[in-house]
This record gives sequence, structure tokens and C-alpha cells, in this order.
Amino acid sequence: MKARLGVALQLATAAALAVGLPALLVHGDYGRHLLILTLILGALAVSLNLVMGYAGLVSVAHGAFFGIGAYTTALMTVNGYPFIVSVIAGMLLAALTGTLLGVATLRLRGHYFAVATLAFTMVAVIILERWEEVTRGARGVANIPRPTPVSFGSVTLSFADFWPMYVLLMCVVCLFVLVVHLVVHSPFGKSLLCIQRNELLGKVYGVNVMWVKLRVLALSAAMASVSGSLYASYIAYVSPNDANFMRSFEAIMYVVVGGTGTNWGPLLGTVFVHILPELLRGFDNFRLLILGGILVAVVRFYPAGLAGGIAEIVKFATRLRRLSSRFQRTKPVTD
Amino acid sequence: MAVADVSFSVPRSKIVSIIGPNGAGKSTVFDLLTRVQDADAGSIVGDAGDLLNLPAHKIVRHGIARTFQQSQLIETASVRDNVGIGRLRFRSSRMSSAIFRTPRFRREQEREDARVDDVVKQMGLDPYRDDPISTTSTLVRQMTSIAMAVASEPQLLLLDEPMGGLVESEVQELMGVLRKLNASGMTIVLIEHRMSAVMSLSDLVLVLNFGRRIAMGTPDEIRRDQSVIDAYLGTRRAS
Repeated sequence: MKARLGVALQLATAAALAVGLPALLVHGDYGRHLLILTLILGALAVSLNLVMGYAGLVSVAHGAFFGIGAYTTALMTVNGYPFIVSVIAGMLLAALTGTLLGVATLRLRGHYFAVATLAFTMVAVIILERWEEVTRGARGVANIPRPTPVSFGSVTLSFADFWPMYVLLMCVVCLFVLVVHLVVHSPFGKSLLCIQRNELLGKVYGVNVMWVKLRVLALSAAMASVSGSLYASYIAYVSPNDANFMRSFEAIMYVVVGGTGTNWGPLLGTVFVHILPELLRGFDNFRLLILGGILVAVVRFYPAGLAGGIAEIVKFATRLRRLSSRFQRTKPVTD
Repeated sequence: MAVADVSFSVPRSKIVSIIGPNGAGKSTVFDLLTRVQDADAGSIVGDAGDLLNLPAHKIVRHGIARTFQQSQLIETASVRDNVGIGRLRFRSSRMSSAIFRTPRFRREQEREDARVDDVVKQMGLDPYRDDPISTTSTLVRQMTSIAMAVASEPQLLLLDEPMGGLVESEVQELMGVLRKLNASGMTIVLIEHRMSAVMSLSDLVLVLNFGRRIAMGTPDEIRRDQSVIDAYLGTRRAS
């Protein structure tokens, strides 16, 4: 048990370092803005990975769950509700929506499930656009305040500043990584594994497949909604475009590029996809072409994503080290 | 219709084998017993009443566990993790207790880890405990499938061609394991094509052909049954 918690802490620390180091390396407002966005979308990718990577359900609904969080926070905070209350409300609403979506799509698998979730996202965008009295339609919601400042005695942390916002986001991301790790390494996680790899086996050994799917979808939707809340609060504006299927596809790209079913892969994927275009700025108009080529190459040569590729390299290096130490031990002693 | 007019009862603590040519409906009987397939008519009565009223995931709670003809093991998971799937019915799958690692969760985890280790040892799988299934031999895979079922503490164990792909010495080893399990009080229903093993292990043999029961009796009775000889055994195997 201690060992497992130790691993969980190590993972959380590694995630914090992986995401935290860039803050020290990045300079300028634009770089910092990019970093904050990377963290927000990284949280979305981690939430998607829970259903896509561990339960094998390719959800295109996560853009909509993100939108639910963003709109709940936007509409509540502009009406004077505290940020944290809006986040919790968004989580509950997204979890409920996720459950309802789950009930409607219970028996679907693979592409059929993906298409059903795509349809759900399109319906969500139409509702956001047409229900003008509540959502303000295509104009969106502007002037969304940042999270309520936090006071520690005489020190007040204002989330309008970079560092408090950055630390808040990093905590959220680490918490998400930790939650996913703990869920996956539990009997519930084993049920997820059965659903992903062999539903029949799960059923025969007592896994209520439908109930497990519903719960994982609800949890993942709630997590995606938190990233939406943070996004709305940071950007200060949301529109139906923030909830559309392009958001879902972006999240899927982060997960696939980083490594589905790996704890920190989605974060790595988000960082990679966000930072790479900036590194390619020198290539001017060819930038997107090169970016596309690199992403295709990653998926083609590292089907397990960047995390899988790194794991392979580490394994190879470990094998090499073992071989070299064995070679040194067997080297004959000469005068 | 894969199976029709098949009625039989399984006496407690006995080994019953189901034999018959390919396509006779043997595996379908297991699928119906474990509710993997729906029955159009009939009834399957266990200690808990009519099993047809239960969903598939509740069957194991009523003491029925099975293996499959085609391996259903999770290839990337270790032998131990696969065996652990058999314990899922005893585990609380609450997400909150998984996230907060409550004392109850930790106690349960320790107890269940120990139980899985016991089953792994009991089935002679200790040397392969941490090996991914994809790297193990056919015997280890078959033993792991059975261990998974045994881990669920069944009263009735349904084994679908557990000796498929094994050499003679491995068959003998597996037969020893099955005898031990049976001696501990477990009722076993076995689908198998290896007649020597069937005749040596079974208390009763059920013969199916084209989804219908053509005979049921002790191995000696089945050997002498002309309809079984004609449909399946042939004169050489019967002797």
C-alpha cells in the first residue's frame, strides 16, 4: 500500500516537474499565455484519457463537457456566484449529462459510440447557439471574472497574475493525474481494463459493464468540465465554438500523440502539440505542413504515443546498461 | 437454433463431461448457463432458482464460473493480474474508496492480494506469477484461465476444452489439478475432445449432436451406446 502511494506521489511529482519546468523556461506574456492554455487543455486530455485510454471508449463529447463547465462558470460568475461554486455546479451538470449520454449510448461500442458522442456534441453546440435567453447565443459570454482571490493572512493571491493561476492549474493537473492513477489501480480500474480488452470476460466475472461505463463517463465528464471552467475564467470569454467537436478532436489528438492509456502521456501530447508550432515559426508558411508531417510520423512510428516511445527508449537504455555491466564483469583480468 | 431439447442435471461434487462433434452446441450450453447468450425457451435451475432471470454479471455470484474455448485472457496483463479478475466479484468497485484509499479499501486490498497469491500457488503458477500472459506457454494459459475461475470460489466450474493444445504430459498434470479441485467439493462440467481424459475423469458423460442430447450416462455406458458410436466415437475410440 505504502509502495503504491509512493508510486502515486512519484507520478504526481513527475507530472508537476514535467509541466512545471517550462514555467521557468518560458518568457514573455505570449509564452506564459501558451503555457496556461497548455495546462488547461492538458487537464482536458487527462480527463479524456480516463475513458479513451483506460475504458477504450473514444469520446467526441469531451468538447461539450468542456463547454458545459465553461458556460456554467461563465454564466454563474458574471452573475456574482463564487468561482468554486460555479466549478462544482459545472462538474455536477457535466456528470449528469455524461450519465444521460451513457444511458443513451450504453450498448454502442467503437466507432458507433464515437459517432453518437459526436452527435451529442453537435446538439450541445446548437443548444448553446439557439438558447439565447440563457447562453447569449453566438455572441457568447464576455467579461468573465478570474477565480476569487485567496487570502493567507496579509498575503492575497490574485489569479489575475501569472504565478497564482499557473500554480492553481498545476495543482489541478497533478490532482487529475493522481485521481486517474488511483482509479486505474483499483478494482474499478480492473473492471475498466476488462471493458477495454475483453468485455465478455468482465461480464462473466461479475463486472456490471453498463454501470462501470456510466460511472467512468460521469467522472471523466466532471473532470473535463473543470478544465472548461478554468478556461472560461482565464480567457474571460466563451462562445459556442469553445464547446464544438474541434475541441474534442484536439483533445483526442493530445491523447493519441502522447500515448493512450498512459498516465502522463496526454500531458506530454498536449505540451508537444502546443509547443511544436512555436518551435516551427521560422518555417513560416510551411509550418503547418511540417507540423502535420511530424504528428503523422509520431502516430505512425510510435503507436503507443510519445510516452510509449520514451518507455521503449528507457527500456533499450536499461538493457544496454545491463549488457555493458555484464561485459565489464566478465572482462578477463590482465597484468 | 444451436441447442434444442437438451435437458440434464449435474449432481453436486461430480465431474460431468459434455462431448460431441464440432457444432454440436457444447459451448452454446455454457453460453446459456452463464447468460452470455439468451435462451428462447426453457429453464436453467440452480441453487438460486431460474438462472435465466439473472443478468450475465450476476451469474458468478451464484457460484458458477467458466473458462472459454478461445483464450479470453488479457494478453498484456500478468498471470497474477489475470487471476485477480476472478476476485472482482468480491471487490468493492466504489470509485470514492479507490480515490481516498479508505482503511476499509486497504484492508480489502491486502486480503484480496493474499487470496489471489494463494490461488496462484495452489494452481502451480507461482513461477510465472509476474509474466505477461502473451509470453507464457499453452499449459500456463490454460491453468491461468482455470485459476481465474477458481479464484471466484465457484461451486460449479465450467471448463471449455481446457486440454486443447496440450501434450500428453501436460494433460496428465491438468487432470491431476482437476481431480484435486473436484476432491475439494467443486462440481465440474467439462467440454473436451480428448476421450481418454473424458473417460478417465468423468462420473457422467453427456453427448450432444446437432444441438440435441443423444445420450447421458457413465463413461462405460457411453462407450457402449450405439447412437454415440455412430455419431461421434466410432468403433476405434469406443473400444
